[in-house]
Amino acid sequence: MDRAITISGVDKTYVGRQGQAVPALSGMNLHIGAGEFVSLLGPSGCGKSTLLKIIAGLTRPSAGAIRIGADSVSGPSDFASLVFQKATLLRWRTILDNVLLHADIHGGRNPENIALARSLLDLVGLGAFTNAYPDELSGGMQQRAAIVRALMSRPELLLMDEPFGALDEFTREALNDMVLRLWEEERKTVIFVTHSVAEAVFLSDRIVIMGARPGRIITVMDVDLPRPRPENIRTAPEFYQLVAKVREVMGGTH
Amino acid sequence: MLSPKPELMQPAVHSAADKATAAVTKDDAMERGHPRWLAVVLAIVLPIVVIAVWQFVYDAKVVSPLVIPRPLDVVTALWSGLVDGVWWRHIAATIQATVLAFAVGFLAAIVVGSCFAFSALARETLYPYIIAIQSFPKVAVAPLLVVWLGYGLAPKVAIGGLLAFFPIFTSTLAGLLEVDRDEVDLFKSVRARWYHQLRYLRIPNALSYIFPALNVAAVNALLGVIVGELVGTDAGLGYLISQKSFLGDTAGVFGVLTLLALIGVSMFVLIRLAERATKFSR
Ligand SMILES: Nc1ncnc2c1ncn2[C@@H]1O[C@H](COP(=O)(O)OP(=O)(O)OP(=O)(O)O)[C@@H](O)[C@H]1O
Ligand SMILES: [Mg+2]
Repeated sequence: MDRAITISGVDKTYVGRQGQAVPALSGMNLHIGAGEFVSLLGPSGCGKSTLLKIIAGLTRPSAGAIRIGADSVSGPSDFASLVFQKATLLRWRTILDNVLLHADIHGGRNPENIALARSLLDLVGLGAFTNAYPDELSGGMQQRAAIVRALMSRPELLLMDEPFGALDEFTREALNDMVLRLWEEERKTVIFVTHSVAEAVFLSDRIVIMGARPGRIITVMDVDLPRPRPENIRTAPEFYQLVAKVREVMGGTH
Repeated sequence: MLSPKPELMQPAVHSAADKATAAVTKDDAMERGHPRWLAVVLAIVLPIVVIAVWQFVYDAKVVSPLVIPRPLDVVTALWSGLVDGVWWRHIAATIQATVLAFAVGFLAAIVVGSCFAFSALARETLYPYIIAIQSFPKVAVAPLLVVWLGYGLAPKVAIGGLLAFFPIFTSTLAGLLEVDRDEVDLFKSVRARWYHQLRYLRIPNALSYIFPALNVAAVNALLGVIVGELVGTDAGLGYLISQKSFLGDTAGVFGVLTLLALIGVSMFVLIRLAERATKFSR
């Protein structure tokens, strides 16, 4: 069964505080193959988060539709999981309890989902922090826990909304490496929102460059860097060339 | 149903990011630039100095003993009040009324706060009146409450309960409503039903707002009870104060005040311990 994602003719207009129309997205068309890693890059306010929310089934488009395979998205499902810009961990729950939120809501905890939680936390280097509370963790560690939480429902699609936007460059690169390893192992479809061109180039198969007012796709660029990508590709000339190319295209959007 | 209404309440701890910055500034402010023993020594020396100055002022006879009693007389008054046992009846009355007032205020606040949180209609209709009552100096109605409710326990509990109500009410309301938009999206994205959201998000969030308010509420309950006792009853530490000051027994008044301070501190410690025992203090 092909679980490709098709975005066809999606418009989104919010109603503002004074009742005025706030156009957030207009005429979005995009096809994302199963297992693809796609980044959304664009100026603030161009509707990246809105698009993710529509794909996640949290918001309905004003026009158009999202299809997953042959089914159109009508609400949240276990197919997709969201990772927010802020880790959004519940401060009164330990890391393990936070990660098990999905289990608590759907059928309760059992040895399997606890084992899955522990192994994923180990995988992202949080094995020693299962009983810590979120405020005892650094921003990068919190974000890793949030990624584990998103993986707990075994989604096929991971929607990440600037997950590392608040982190310093080194932490961000380390987490990029981690995301890439996870992705190479599991080949989930990933839609990744970022403001960092280098991050987008390093991670993605394709980069969707968006423009604002109204939010729309300006162009889609292929990233033809080898897979699996070595970490040191960040210093390779072809990496720099791609970054420069993306910046050039984006120059017109700001 | 649960539309956020952020302008309602005083800010408490909100997002993780806010919380992180709050924690940092707090830690910075609390960073010790002095050895620990200094604080301990000063904490012990401070009351000694205060008592010494007090004794000096008394000896210099710059003010009448009716205004400021001799420190030792206060101790004697406190001692004899406790040992002779005449004060215990009053202590018990005050504590009983305070506990009752706190319980009544607490329950009412949780119930009304939840109703307000879950009904936008209740919120919008009644909020102006709640604000009006909140801004009103409630101790001013104490004499009236005595007229209405009679001499004895009822007016004390009423004033104490009213004063304890507001901090818990506002934090219940704020805690149930002021959840992060992303947190709500998180719950929606995992297809949580409303009762999941209540159980795993809004109630814990509310508890983390309510616990810090309990200390204020307890002190308010005690305050309200004392006011009630000053105005009209025949038992309680407030009654004892009014009686002693009427008789010009300043040392006795100071003794009772010392006792009230001790009760206040004990309540603070008890609530702190309860808070520590739960995970919602974070
Ligand atoms: N709930 C909402 N109600 C009204 N307008 C909204 C709402 N959410 C977003 N908007 C508007 O829609 C537009 C797109 O917002 P969106 O958050 O999707 O942008 P974004 O690309 O994610 O921006 P950023 O990079 O800053 O996160 C903006 O103009 C924003 O003001
Ligand atoms: Mg956004």
